[in-house]
Amino acid sequence: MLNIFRNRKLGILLSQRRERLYRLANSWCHDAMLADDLVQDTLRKALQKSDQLKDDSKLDAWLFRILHNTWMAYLRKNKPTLDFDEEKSQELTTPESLLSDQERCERVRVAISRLPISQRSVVSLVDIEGCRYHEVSEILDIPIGTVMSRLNRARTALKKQLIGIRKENTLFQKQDYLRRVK
Amino acid sequence: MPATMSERLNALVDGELGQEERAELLGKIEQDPKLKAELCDIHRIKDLVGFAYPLQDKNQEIKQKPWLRIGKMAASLLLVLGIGFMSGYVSSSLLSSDSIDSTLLQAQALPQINEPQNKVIIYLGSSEKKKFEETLNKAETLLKKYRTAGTAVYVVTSAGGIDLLRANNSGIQQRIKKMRGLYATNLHFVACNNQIYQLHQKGQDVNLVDEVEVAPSAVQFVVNHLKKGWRYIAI
Repeated sequence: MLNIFRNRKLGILLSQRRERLYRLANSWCHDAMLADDLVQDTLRKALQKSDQLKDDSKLDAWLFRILHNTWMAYLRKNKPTLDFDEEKSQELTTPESLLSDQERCERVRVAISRLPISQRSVVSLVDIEGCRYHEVSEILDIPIGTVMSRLNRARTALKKQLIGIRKENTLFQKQDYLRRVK
Repeated sequence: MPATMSERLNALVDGELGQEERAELLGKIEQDPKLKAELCDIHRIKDLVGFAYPLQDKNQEIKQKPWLRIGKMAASLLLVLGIGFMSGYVSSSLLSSDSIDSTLLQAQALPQINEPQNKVIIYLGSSEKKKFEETLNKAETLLKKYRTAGTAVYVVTSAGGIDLLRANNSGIQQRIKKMRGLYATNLHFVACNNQIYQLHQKGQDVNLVDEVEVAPSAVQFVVNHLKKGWRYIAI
């Protein structure tokens, strides 16, 4: 009886997290259909392994870990292709001031998709899901020092792709429109 | 292996440093313009990544045709925007009745996704001088009372509000510099690039004070932070 209540409660909690899981999966794989499949698989595994979750406050980290393992399993079976990068590479030459919000989103997503998978996983968990370093360490099963170094490398690479391009914007060259805190 | 300076800056932005380490690093940043610039870039990248992945209905993203999807996303953004600014207006009305400090208490009481405790956006869209002062006073009041690790106040300007951050107002400029000196990474001033672009199109030069950061869109910046649970005050 208790199990029925627990599973019902877990089902509600899982459905509440579905969109976040999908967003995270999409930031990793950049494929809407695949992200949906990964989330479905993750939710199915979560329900099957619900006994493993001892502390409800760690539900998010537990789900992210299952999602990550599911994605890794997928990658082991299917080698990633470079189609996405090749298809989108032209977009990075457009001045940012001419982009709509949607295009700007797309540009950032392309930049993220170009990161190595190990860095992409970390930066998504920290900047999209707001995970703490120790949580990322547990989810990905890597030391905190590795979390920090991967995050630093990811952001440095993103900076080169995204902020560097803004400085090429001819519309604002004279005014140096992108200011930095001094 | 000890963390590199860049890794420590990342940790500072992510609120991962202890009080002592944070104070030590802030001291170094204060003395080094390169570190300040790097810190600003990290903030910017963090915001851009969060901006690129808003929560949305996955079914729409998968099934709809691209043109329809973009149209609906724009519509939903406007809806969220309207709700966000309306809630901000309500917050503002409540807050102006001598209860600024209750904002942060409310923020702590609300269910949050990304631990945005003590994180407030003050939005200014007016060029009225008294509103400039009101904005800075509110920011200062919040920071004085809640100068703890993780407290952050973003003064976000758009439309006429961008005049607050233009370098032609020496009195305000000095106050902003002083506040930045006092509160360092707890306080940020943000100008809307869309507004700067429009002013440029009208032939106006826009010289901003040095401490200002530029967001692609103030509206999107605010919406993005509201979704993460930040509190919003409209002046």
